[in-house]
Order: sequence, then C-alpha cells, then structure tokens
Amino acid sequence: MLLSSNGSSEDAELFKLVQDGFQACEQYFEFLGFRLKPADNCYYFTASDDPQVNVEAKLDRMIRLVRLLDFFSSHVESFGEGQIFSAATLAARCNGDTKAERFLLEMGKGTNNQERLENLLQSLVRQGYLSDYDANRQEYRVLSAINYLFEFADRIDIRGITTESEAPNA
Amino acid sequence: MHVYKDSFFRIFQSDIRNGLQRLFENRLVRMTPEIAADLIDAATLEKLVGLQLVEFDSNANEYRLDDRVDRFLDEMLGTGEIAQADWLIGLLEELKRLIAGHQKLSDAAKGEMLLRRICRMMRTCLSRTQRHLEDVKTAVDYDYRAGFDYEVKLLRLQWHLERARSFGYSVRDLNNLLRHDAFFQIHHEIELLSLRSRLIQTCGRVGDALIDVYQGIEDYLNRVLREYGRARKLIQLRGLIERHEHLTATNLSELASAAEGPWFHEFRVRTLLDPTLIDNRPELLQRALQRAGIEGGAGKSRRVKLTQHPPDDLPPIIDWTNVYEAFTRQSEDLFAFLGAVKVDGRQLNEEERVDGYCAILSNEDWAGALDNRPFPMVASQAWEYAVIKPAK
Repeated sequence: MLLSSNGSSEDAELFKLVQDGFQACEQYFEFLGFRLKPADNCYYFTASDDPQVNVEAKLDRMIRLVRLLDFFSSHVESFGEGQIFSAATLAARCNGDTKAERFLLEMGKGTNNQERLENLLQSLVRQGYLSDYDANRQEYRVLSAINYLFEFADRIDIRGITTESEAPNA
Repeated sequence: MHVYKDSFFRIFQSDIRNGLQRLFENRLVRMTPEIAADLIDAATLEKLVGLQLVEFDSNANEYRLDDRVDRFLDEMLGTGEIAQADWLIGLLEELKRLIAGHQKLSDAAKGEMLLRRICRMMRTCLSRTQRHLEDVKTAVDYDYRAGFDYEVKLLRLQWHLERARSFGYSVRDLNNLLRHDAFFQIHHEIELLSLRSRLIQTCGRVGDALIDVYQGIEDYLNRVLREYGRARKLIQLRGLIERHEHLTATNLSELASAAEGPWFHEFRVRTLLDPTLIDNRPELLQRALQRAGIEGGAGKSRRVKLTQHPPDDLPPIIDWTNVYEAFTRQSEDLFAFLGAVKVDGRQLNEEERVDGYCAILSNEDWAGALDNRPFPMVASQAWEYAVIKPAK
C-alpha cells in the first residue's frame, strides 16, 4: 500500500513509472476503487468505499503514530528518510530508559525488550516504512514512506503554544 | 579528520615543539630574524635550522619553514586550519605585498627572487583552494549528520555558512587580482602565465561549487530546523498524551477523523464478494484468503502474482451459514454451480453433489423457488427427484 522512492530496486523502478505517469495511474486505480495519493517521495492508496473505521480506533492509531515517531526521533540520530540505523544500538539505548522500555512493553510483542523491539521493527518492515539494510548486522533503512507519517505529525497543532516562526533560510 | 594543533605537535621533541608551533602559526608573516627572535629563543631556532625543519633565506633575510615540513603540517592540520578560514586572506595579502614589493624594486636579482616567491604563493593557492572546498563540503556533511543536539548542529552549520561565504569573497578577490592587476599584464613569464590561467579557471570552478555548497548548507539548515521543531513537538505531544490532555490541547481528534491511508487500516480485501460479507464475516474472508493461497494479516508480507483467469474457473465462495441465499442466486444452473464448489480445499464428489442438490431442493425455504426450478422433477412414492443430465 506504500511505495517509496528509496525502496528496493523494484520499488524504485515502480516509483519512477508512477511518477512519470501519475495521472494515468491515478485514473486507472480510481476505476478500481483506489485513490492513488502522492506524499513526499512516496505514494499510497486510499479507498473510497472502504469501511469507515470508527473515530476512536483512528484516534488510537494516531496516538500510536505520535508515540512511535517520538520513540524513533529520540533514539535514532536524525531519524528520517534514508537514515540507516542499527537495531543493536537502538536496543542498547533503550536499556535503562524507563520511557523507552514502557513504550516497547505497550507497542511490541515479546518477552523481553530485545524481542519486542525486533518485532516492532519487523512490523514496520512489513508495513513498508523500513527495509532490511543488512540482516547480519541488524541494520535497517528508513524508507521515504515515513514521510507519510511525518506529515500527520506536522499537521498536529498544540493549542496555547505559540509556534515560533521558523522561516526557511532564503 | 580534525587534528588539534596542540596534540598534534606532541610528535616533535619537547624542546623544539613550542618553537615549531609558533613558527607554523606565523608562517604567513615575513619572518625576519628580529621577529623570529621575539617568538623563540636563538638556541631553539638554531636547532630547528640544524634539523632542516626551518631554513634561513639569506637573500631575503628571513626564516621560513622547510617546504616539505610546511606541506606536511598543512596536510596534517588541514581540517583544523579550516577553522581559521583565513589562510586565503593571508595568502592574498602576502601576494599583494610581494607584487607591490616587486614593482618598487630596481634590483633585477631581487626581482627574480620575488617573482619566484609570487609563483610559489600562486602554487600554494592552486593546491589549497580545491582542497579547502572539499574540506568544507566534508565538514558540512559531517556536522549535519553527527550528533543529536539540534542547537549544536544549527550553530555549526551557520558557522560553515559564514566560513564558506568568507572563502567565496576571498576567491573573488583572488580572481580580481589575477585578472585586473597590472603586474599580471606586464609579466609574461611562461610559469607565471600558466599559473595565472590555471588559478583563474580554479577560481571559476570553486565559485560554481561554492554556490552548491551554500545551497546544501541552507537545505541542511532548513531540514535541521524542521526536524528540531518536529522533535520538540513530539516531546510535547508525548507529555500531553501521558497526561490525557491530548484531546483538549491538540487537534488530534479532528485530524484522526479525517485521516486516511495505510496507517489507519481502512482497507478491505478486494474480491467479488459482497463488501458487507467481508466487513461482518471475517472468518469467511479468512477462508477465502486461505483458499487463494494468501495467508491472513500475520506473517511476512509477500508479493502475490495475479494472473487473469476466465470467470468460470474461479470457485465460488459460499456463506455456509446462509446457504439458501447463496444457492438461490444460482437458480439458472444450480447443479453446475455445485460442481465448482470447493469444501475444505477440494471439490465435491458426485455423491456429495447430488446429496447437496437434493438437500437444497428439499429445504423449506427453497419451496417458494420451485416454480423456477431448472430441472424436471419426478415424484415417486414419498420422494420427489430432480432429473439431471450427467455433467459433460
């Protein structure tokens, strides 16, 4: 359901094809009942006739999204598209960090933190947000699909906190 | 690699270490014996000359680092020297001073010597300019990627931006000097001409490359600002979620209600089945997926190659808890339909097929549909049979 520009060679090729003929692809999938949506360096599908997940479930997913991004942003240097990180380093950073351990307890399945983290990472690989970079060294690469999640985080407004103007450097 | 001067000079003996470091730091200044005496004691200076680390040019009446030593120290401390970022300014001033000195001289021998020094300066410019540019690029990339602290990253990137800008101004000055100074119009020695044209070309290339460097730094700055803002927001959000204030203090609920896409698991498997069946009867969906050789949500995802089949080849999927409805839709040829039905992954055998057909016909709900029955019926004693032609 997610197609990243920096995914496997097959995905990258497909991404290029979709990018080149976006309008045609959009029309084609529209006919099949899927809406092809572009995000920053990735594409994803939404479907118009899909069951409306109730708002509570969606809110849960949104909270999960925030906690997931917060976890990775706190424990992986410059977490973002293209970044490569090691699961072993991440696990070492989580050890002794009560917040991280609590997060893993709630989000990952397994008997210990190492296992929970591994399951969480593999789940993100299956969903298309990460890819196995070097299986022997337990290294993962962050795919462009992560931008789809970051877009949600960027759209969240915290009321009562004046956001500082962060004008880009011209 | 960044090498700190103080630690680097420890490779030299302790008695000459400080003196050599001072000479290195002041190597762009014309080191007359008086200035040298101010910097280091005479004995150390003699020792440095004796070790051929420093040479005394009696014609110019000045001390300078041996060429090889100068180059070695430059290379070892190159990245550290970027921090000063004014080597080119110093070289440029020295070059201007030499040119001015050459123009005032009437002694041809001294003029020749100055010309050699000018060429030497130009060669230094040539070799260091490109290297400096590469060092700036590397340092920018390194400082962007390394470390957690966004504020440190921002400070360093802004510092690189300033440094790249000052380097750009110096390259522009050097370019102007080479193009417009009268000295280079008058003197046409081959070495000088060749060096001048190569330096002008280098200045052009460096100028173009510096534009890319500026843009790269600005891009990094913007990214760091965005990531910094995002990380700060995520930390605040985590706090709000832990205090259960996220619904009142943020627009999370509005966003969630309008959210769409793969993260929100809105997808229904695309089949020919009625969508309500998939929504309300997940166990049937599971069976359908198993039958198609696709496991449910668990397990590692894999690509499924889809091939087009004629519709007749696709076995029908039946809601076994509501067989009647499933079969009444097949009123045109129920028996043929049963021939294609699969139960537990296999097709019905002939006996099961006939039994099934009879059971359906004898179902009370079916009675109303008997008028539309496709097969001739025969009654015998208490039984009613359908007359069915054998399947081809």
